[in-house]
Amino acid sequence: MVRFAVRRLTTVLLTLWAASILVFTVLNILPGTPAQVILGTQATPASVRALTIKLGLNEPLVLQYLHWMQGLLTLHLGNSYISGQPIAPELGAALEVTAPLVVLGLLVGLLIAVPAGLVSAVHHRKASGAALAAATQVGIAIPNFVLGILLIIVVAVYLKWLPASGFTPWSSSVGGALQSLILPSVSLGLVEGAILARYVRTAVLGVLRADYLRTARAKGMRTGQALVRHGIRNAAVPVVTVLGLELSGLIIGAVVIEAVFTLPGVGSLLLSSVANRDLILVQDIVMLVATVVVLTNLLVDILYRVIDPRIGLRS
Amino acid sequence: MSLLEVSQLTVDVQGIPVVSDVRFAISAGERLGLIGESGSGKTITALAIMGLLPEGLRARGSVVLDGTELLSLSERRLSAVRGSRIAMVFQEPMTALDPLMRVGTQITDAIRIHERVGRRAARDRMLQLMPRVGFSNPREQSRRFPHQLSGGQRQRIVIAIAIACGPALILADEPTTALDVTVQAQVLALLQDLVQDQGSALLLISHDLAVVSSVCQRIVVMYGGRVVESASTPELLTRPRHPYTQALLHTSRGIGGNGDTPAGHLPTIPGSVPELGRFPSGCVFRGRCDREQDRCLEAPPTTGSDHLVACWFPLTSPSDPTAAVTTGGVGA
Repeated sequence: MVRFAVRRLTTVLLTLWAASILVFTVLNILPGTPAQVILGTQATPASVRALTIKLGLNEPLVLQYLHWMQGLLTLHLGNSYISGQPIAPELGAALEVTAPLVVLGLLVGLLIAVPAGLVSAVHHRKASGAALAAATQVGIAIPNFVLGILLIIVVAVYLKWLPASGFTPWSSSVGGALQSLILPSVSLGLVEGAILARYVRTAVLGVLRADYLRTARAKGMRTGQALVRHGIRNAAVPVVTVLGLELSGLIIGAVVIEAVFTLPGVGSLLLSSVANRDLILVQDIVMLVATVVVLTNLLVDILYRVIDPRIGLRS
Repeated sequence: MSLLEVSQLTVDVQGIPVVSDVRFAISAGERLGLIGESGSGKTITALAIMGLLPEGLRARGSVVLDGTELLSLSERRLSAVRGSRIAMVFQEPMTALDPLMRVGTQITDAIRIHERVGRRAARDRMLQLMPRVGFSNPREQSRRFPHQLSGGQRQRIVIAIAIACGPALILADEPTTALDVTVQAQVLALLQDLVQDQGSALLLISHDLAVVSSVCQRIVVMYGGRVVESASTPELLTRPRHPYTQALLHTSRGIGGNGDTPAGHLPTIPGSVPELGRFPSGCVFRGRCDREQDRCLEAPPTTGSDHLVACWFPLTSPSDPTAAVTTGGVGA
């Protein structure tokens, strides 16, 4: 148990360290210095040099990296190159949009995937099961931003039920904030849900054909009872794997969806900071996303061991 | 009256019969053996009795347990019979148990489905059941997961599940085939003891004549989805009437060394079991039988009262059981 925890934690830290080096290197290889971008093409070389020194970008790269790491480890994320404002509150405000968006998207996805996958597996020989399977296939084929735009046209513009874009801050109205997240999270979750539904279907089909389900029925359980008692846990093993991967997909999808719905989230912040060569902000955001992804994988790994005794904590 | 009466049982897969017109009866407490090569329809017959046929297979005919027709029973009513009146022990102990659930819980479940007993009472019953199937330390062993047990131990758990509610009939489908030879005899003896203790009837399905004849009082021989012969065990062993039964007997005796094949040769039945749906019309054993005549193009009727046989030219003389069978080594 302890050995497992230590080993996994070491892996997490090493992965994040590797990610930080990669991010830092790639962004510093990119053409265009931040000072040049900030001051525009008309700036004199002297003023560009002055700003470079002011931002500390004249220091050796190793030193810049160590400064950045020091900031990350002490949670002092530094100031934006562009606005000069501290990054932490800005990132925090963006997270208030993106974190609920991703969680709601995941929830929508699960709410679609689990029933759809279950029903299409149990009824796989009937028309209803085939229709559901076909519907999930269509769902997979639709890019989430197309779905987002469709939803805007139908639900926001035509029916006028929900706002088409923008975000009402949580501090001014919780209901308003939720309302502005409904369409984005549906367009985010629907596609992921369709993908996940396929995996749920396959997993449940596997369980339905398993010998232990027949044993359970031979004991006198009805198929439904047996599925609940034995099926859910057994089907969960492959589904949890995909769920971990899907979460990464949701985070990437959120960047696009935030642009479609003009939400002031992490994705929008990332896009604008890339455009502005606000390198330190880009680095911080990428590290944040990397941390979330790595921690999700850790969580999946732990869940495996909770679900399946054969994997065990020692191995 | 019989406990279980199977008559005209037929199971089709996409129009191809896998089991045709199977009939036999088991009286209370009786041990009946069902024997045949793989592909003869033994397992399908058992699953049809349990109402657990795989999707796409439907049973026709009649399966009557204690006066109740099982084939027309609703799934709800049938599930009340399964586990409480009829139980089944499966061939593959490796996959028959849920890998993610403690074995004790899987036994407890079998009790709680049919009997309105509390969690604790069911657990106590389970802890009493486990020593009966040979677990000396039930408290600790019931907390194991299937992968922590050996094949023989798993099969004993499956047997515990089967006997949990004291069923009147236990169907055991090749219960020892997947086990090590050394464990086979133990598990078989255990099954026989338990069945006798409880007064349950047993339908033992096997391809192994030695196994069946050591346990069962009567034997039904199946070939190509049909019952070709059935008789009491001593009768069948000494006076087989169907050429297929005789060939089976010959093959199992030859191994013992008291057969008449030369050393180093195993007696075989010439030819092989045809693929599904490729069985000949008329008598299913046609083509592998050396008593075959023109008449065998027509399906033979089942004749006899205690000793049933479906053959146009059954063996009559018990004196020379080898006369009708081609003997010799492999490929002869």
